[in-house]
Amino acid sequence: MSEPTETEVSNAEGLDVIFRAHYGRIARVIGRVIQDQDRAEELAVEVFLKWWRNPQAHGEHAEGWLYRTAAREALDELRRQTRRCRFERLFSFVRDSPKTPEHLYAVNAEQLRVRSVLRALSRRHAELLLLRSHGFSYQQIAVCLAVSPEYVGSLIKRAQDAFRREYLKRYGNES
Amino acid sequence: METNHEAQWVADRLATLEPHWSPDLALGRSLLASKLVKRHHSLTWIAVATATAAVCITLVAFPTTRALARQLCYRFILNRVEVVRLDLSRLPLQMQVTTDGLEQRAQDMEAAERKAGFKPYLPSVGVLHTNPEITITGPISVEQTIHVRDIESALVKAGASDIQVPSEWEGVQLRTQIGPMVELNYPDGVQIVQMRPIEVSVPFGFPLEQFAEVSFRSIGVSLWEARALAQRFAAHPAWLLDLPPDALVNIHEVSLQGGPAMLIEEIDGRGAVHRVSVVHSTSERMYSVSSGDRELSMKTADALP
Repeated sequence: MSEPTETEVSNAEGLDVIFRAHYGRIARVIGRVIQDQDRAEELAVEVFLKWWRNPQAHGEHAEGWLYRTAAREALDELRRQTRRCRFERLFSFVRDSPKTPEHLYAVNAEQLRVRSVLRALSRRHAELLLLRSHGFSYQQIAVCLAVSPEYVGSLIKRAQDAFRREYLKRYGNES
Repeated sequence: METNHEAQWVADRLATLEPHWSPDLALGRSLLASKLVKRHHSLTWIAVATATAAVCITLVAFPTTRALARQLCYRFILNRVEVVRLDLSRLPLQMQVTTDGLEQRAQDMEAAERKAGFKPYLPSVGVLHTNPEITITGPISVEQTIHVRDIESALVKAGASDIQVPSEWEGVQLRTQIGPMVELNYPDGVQIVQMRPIEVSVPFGFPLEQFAEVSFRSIGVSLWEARALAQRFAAHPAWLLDLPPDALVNIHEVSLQGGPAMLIEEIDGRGAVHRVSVVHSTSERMYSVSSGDRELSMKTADALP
């Protein structure tokens, strides 16, 4: 990676402001999907770096862009983790697995199920559910996902239906 | 939040994902600042390869009576796979990993062959009925440096203070070349990973068997077990899958048409098998085939050349 350009440097203060304002929430949005705090925080930083390097994302839509990107980064990472986890079987079979008995036996099974279902949903459905579950209003979701506010309700309803169908298909009514 | 029952049902499940930690703003800013100056690649995957190399290096030895080539570095190939119930990620070695690129997608098998430098194999016709997503990873080079003090510290922690680490080991470098690896992911969850055998090079004359024994001791293996393991691998160099003792797995030796293989069943928290991997190798290829079903994993592994 090369040194920041002059334009980038001139935006550094803006980056710091927006980072301070949104880093915590961005990290927690990602943390809903990515169990590992270190990785979630690392991805959150990556989101801000992407924003910084993308002038088109600056301005009034910055906040929406950040949360949309955070949700996508998290979901992409979730899929990568699945592939990587399988891949690691050849190279480090359980390196990524939890090692303490507490982790081995008490990892929240429900979290695993929910993440598994999110992974199986379409990206749009997963993004909607992720942002909604993090307390975003319909208006905020509309801004983040660049959709009309009047459609957000029905979009969320479809996403919830898709989630419920996939969950029940995988796990039945056991929980 | 939504008020109807089904919406609440979904919300309740998603609420379980609420993180129980708070982001560290200071750490985040520090990370951001460092990346603004120099962007680092994610080390997540590299760490895996690093650990892999540790497995390769540590557990490989060769008979001391073997005639060694007259060269500065002795190179040998690992094309055999075994399992040990140890956590080799704890080995006290300094590692540096370099790669030309972690992952590349390939549109088809021809593109995969160009990127990987070898022809990837597909299972025989009729075994899997969909086209895979193809990814090429690596090659990855791992350089490990021995620091005597680190090993001595690990030995003390492991209660193996009877061992003397030769001072001439200080700074010795061990190199491993892994991959490129071709990964085929099928929509039904079957995954096939294949690569050429791993190449290891060490300084000419380096006592790998002794080093293997010391390394085993440094992670807490008993004297006689460490010695037996080192001797065993001296006689039959192999690349090992290390499965820590607390890993919830069943391991079976199985027979494929092409020879023996290991079948590894992963057990979930409820005691059910949720993933089955078959690991085997030939003289020119190492394979891992995994899926959610034992028969499917076996059938697919058997359908590879």
